[in-house]
Amino acid sequence: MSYLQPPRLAFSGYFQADVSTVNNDPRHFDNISFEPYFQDLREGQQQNGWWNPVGTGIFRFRDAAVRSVVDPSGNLQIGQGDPVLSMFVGNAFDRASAKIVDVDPDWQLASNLYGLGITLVAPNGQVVLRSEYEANPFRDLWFGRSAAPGDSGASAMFQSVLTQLEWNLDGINSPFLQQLYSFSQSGTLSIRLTTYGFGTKYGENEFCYGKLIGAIGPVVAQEPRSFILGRRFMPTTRNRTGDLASTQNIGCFSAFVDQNRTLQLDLSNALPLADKYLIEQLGPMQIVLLKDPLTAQDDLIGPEAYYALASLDQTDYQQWNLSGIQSVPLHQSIYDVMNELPFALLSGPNQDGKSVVAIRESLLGLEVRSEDIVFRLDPNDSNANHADTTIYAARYGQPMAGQQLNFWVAAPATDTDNTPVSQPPGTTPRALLPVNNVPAFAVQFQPALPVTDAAGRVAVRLQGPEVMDHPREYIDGQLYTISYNFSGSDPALQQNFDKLAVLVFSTVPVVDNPTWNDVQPILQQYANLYPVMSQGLFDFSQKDQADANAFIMRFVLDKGINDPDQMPVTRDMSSAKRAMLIRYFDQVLESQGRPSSLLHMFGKRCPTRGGAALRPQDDRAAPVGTLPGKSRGPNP
Amino acid sequence: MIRLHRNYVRAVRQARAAQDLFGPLQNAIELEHSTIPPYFTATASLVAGKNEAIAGLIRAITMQEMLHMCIASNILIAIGGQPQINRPGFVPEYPGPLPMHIGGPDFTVGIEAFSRDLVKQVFMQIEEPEQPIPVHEKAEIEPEYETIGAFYRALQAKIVELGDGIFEPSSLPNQVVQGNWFPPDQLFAITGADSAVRAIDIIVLQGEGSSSSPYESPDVLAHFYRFGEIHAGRALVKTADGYAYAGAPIPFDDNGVYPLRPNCKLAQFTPGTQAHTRLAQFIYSYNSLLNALHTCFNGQPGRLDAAIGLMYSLRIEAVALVQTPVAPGSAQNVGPSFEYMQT
Repeated sequence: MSYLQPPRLAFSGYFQADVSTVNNDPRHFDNISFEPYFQDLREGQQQNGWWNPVGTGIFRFRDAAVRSVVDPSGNLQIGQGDPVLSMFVGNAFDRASAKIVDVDPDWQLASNLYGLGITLVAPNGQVVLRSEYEANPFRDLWFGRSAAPGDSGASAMFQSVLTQLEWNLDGINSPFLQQLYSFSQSGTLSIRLTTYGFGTKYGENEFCYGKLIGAIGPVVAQEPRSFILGRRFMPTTRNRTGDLASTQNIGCFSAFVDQNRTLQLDLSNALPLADKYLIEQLGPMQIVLLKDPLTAQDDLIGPEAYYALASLDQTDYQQWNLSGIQSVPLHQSIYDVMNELPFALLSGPNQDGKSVVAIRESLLGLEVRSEDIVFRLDPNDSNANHADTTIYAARYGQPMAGQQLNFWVAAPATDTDNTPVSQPPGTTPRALLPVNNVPAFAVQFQPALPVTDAAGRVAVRLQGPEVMDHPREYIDGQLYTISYNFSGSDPALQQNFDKLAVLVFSTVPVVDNPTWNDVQPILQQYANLYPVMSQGLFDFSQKDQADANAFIMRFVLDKGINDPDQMPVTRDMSSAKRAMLIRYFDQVLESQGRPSSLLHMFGKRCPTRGGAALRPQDDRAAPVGTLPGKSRGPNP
Repeated sequence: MIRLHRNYVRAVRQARAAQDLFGPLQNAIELEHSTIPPYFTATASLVAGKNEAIAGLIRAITMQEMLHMCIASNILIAIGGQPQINRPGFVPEYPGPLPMHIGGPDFTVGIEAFSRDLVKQVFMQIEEPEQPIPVHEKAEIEPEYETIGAFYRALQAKIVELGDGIFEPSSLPNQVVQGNWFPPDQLFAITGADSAVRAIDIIVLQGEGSSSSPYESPDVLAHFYRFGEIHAGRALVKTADGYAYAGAPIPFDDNGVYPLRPNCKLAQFTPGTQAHTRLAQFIYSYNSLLNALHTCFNGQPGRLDAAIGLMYSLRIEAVALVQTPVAPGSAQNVGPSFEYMQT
C-alpha cells in the first residue's frame, strides 16, 4: 500500500527551492581557474554564477493545505466535512529549513531532500501530526512538461515515507485522521510530492517557488517506498526536450489497482501543462484496457479494440484538489483479465469512432526499478564503501520471480548539459571538463547477475573500489551512471533518468595533524561555490576567519547527513575529508584554549569574495591538461 | 540614562517568594531578547565587504544579548519557573517601547537599517550606563523611573534575601549550559544565590561596564562604549584625564548600507511578490527560532543546537531579503520583520 491507495490525503500549495547555482557548472569546482564573477548573477549570455548564485539550498512548503481525503472504502470528501479538510501541511517549525541537494554536479537529475519535517496543523495551531520525510530524491524528472524554458518547464515527483510520527488527535474529531492513524501503526506513512512550475527568473514574483502537489497514505512493508510498483505507463516517443513523452506530451506515470478493485492513476507528474502551469486540455480522452497487448502507442483503434473504463479528467481542479490522482472502479470482468492486458489512455474518439493510443503501459507490462537510485561510496571508510538496495520486477503489476538482472556502466562522458559557453568570449570557465565513468569497474555488484525471488525482489549490494584516485582532478571522486534492467532480450522500458547514480569519493591519505594547507583547498572550494556564506556569515577560506570560527565550523561539519545544519549543504564530502577538517578545527580549538573572543564568533564576517587560493605556481596545482581522463570543454 | 518604570523595581523589592520573581525574570528575558532584532537588522543592512568593522562590533554585542537571555532564563528555571518564549506578546511591537518601558515613555525602538544616528539615538540609549565614562553630565531621572541597573541590582538583592532555599536542584538538568556555545565562566548552572548574583553581574557588566571602567574585561569594551566607538568613528583610548574616542578609525562607508524600508510588516506586501515571500520566509524562520528556544528552555536543553542553527540560517536568509526591492523598481529594499506568528 502507498499514498496511491486509500485512506489517502491530498494536499497542494507551493514549495520553495532556493538552490545555489554556482555549483551547477562543474567547472566552477576548479579552484585554480575560479573567477570572482562566477559568483555574480547571470547577465545576458554571460553565465557567471547562473540564475541564483546566492541560493541557500533551502527547501520548504508554503501555503500548502489539505484539499481532499479518500476513506478506506474509496469515498471522496472534498472542500468541507471532515475537520482534516481545514488543516494545513507545513514543515518543522523549530529548526533550520530542509535542504535540497544534488548528489554531484555531474548528476543534477535526482535532487534529494534532507531534514524535511512535515506537519499537519489544525486552524487553531494544534500540531496534529509531526513527521520526518525520509531522504529520497525525486524521480521521473522531465524538462518539457510545459513550454517554459529551462527548469521552469520541468516537473518531477518525490516519493518516500514519513517516519517518527507524532500524533496529537486530542480534541480532533476527524474520522479520516483516525483511519489514517490506525493505518500508521507500523510507524510510517507513504508520501508523494510532485513539483513543477518553478520560477527561475530573478526579480520576478515566485522566484525560486513552484507548485507542490502532495498525497499521503499508508505503507506496507513489502512494497517499495520510493516508487509505485504497479501499472507503469511509458511513452515510446520523445518530446522537444528529449523526455520520454507521448505525441500529446504525456509523460510516464504509474497506476495501481487497490484493495477496492479501483484503478488509481497518479497523473500528477504526467499531463502536459499550459499557461500558468495549469493542466493542458488535450480534447476528449479515455482510460481503457486494451484487448490486444501488442497495440502500440499512436495506433488508431476502434471501440472493438478496448474496454472503455472512464473518461480522463484533465482539469486543474483534479490536479490541485485530488493530487492529480484519478480513481476508476473496475468491473469484475475487467479485473479478471487485467493481469494480461495493458491499460492505456486514448485520445478521441474522432467522428469515425476511432481513437489514438496516447500512452499505454510498457510493452509486456514490464517494470524493473531500484528502490534507491543515488549512492555515495567512500573508499576511505569500509563501512561506507558499500550500499544495499532492493530491485523489484513486475509484469502488469504482478511480481516477476526468477528474473535475472544486469548492470551497465555508461561510457566515459562529459557533462555538456551543464557547461555552457558564455559570451563575450573569455568569460567561459577555463577549467577542463571532467570525464565521468572512468576508470571502469570501480563499482561492483553483488551478486553480479542477481535473480529475483518469488516476490519479484532481489537485494543487491554496490561495492566501491579499495582506492579511488582523482579522475576528475578538481571534483572529488567520480560519478558513475549505471543502467540496470532484465538481462534477457525483453528489457523494460525505463524513464530517461532511472539509473543508478553512484558517487565514489577519492581516497584521501590520513593526515594525523592536518595543517591549514591541508584543509584550505577544500574550504576554498566551498567558499567559491556558496557565496551566500561569505556574504551572510564569514569566509572560511581565510585562515584567520576559519580559525576564529573553529567552534561553529566543527559543529556544522560534525552534523549527520540528515541534519539541515550539516555543512557542506551539498553532502558531497568524503568521510576522510570531513574527519580531517574536524581534526584541524579540534587542533585549533585546543591551541586557542577557551578564547575570550569566542563570543565574537557570531560576529565574524569576511569582506572577501571567492577568488582562487591555488595559483598555477603552487606546487599542489598539477597541470590539468596533462592528466588522463580530461577533456577540453566546448569552448577551450 | 536608560530608565524603566519604578513599578518594575518595586515589584522585585516586594517579592516574598520565588514565584514573585517569575514575572520580573520573564521581563528580563523579554528585555534581553528585544534588543536583538534592531541590532540584527542594523548588521544585516550592511553590504558584505563594506563596513566590516562595524558589523563585527554589533554582531558581537548581539551574541552577548543572547547570552544574557540564556542567563535570565536559567535563573528563572533555577527557581522553578518556565520561560515563555513562543507566545504572543513575547516579541515587542516595533516600532514601539521596549519591555518594562525601558528608556522612558517616549523612547521608541524600530527595525531600521544601520546609521550612526541610529546607534546614537537608539542603541546607545538602550545600553547607557548609570554613570557613563567619560563622565557626561548626569541626566536627571524622573522620580517614577529607575535604571536598568537598579532593576538587576534589586533582583540580586532579593535573590540573596530569599536565599538558597528558592533554588530547586531538580531544575539543574533543564538549565541551558551545554554545547560550549558560551564560555563556561559566563554561562554556568545557577545552583544558588551566589551563582545567580554572579550571572547577573555578567549581564550588567557586559552591557554597561563598571562604574570605574568602560571595560567589561581587560580587553573588551562594554556595549555602550562599543556603540560609542561606532558613532564616533574611532576606537576608545585611555587619555590622561580619562577616555576618549580618539583611537584607530572605525570607518563608515555610507554607500555600504542597503536602503531598507524601516519597520517592514508582512501585511504591507502583496502575497506572491518576492518581497512578501522572502519576508514571510524570514518570519517563519524567526518564529521557528522562538519555538526552538522555548523548547530548549522548557525541558529540552539539547535543542540549543537547533536554535543556533536557526540563528545562522536567519543571517543567511537576510542576505537575499535585504537585497529585495519592496516593489519592482523601488529604491527601497525589504527589511526584516520580527512578527509573532503561530507556526
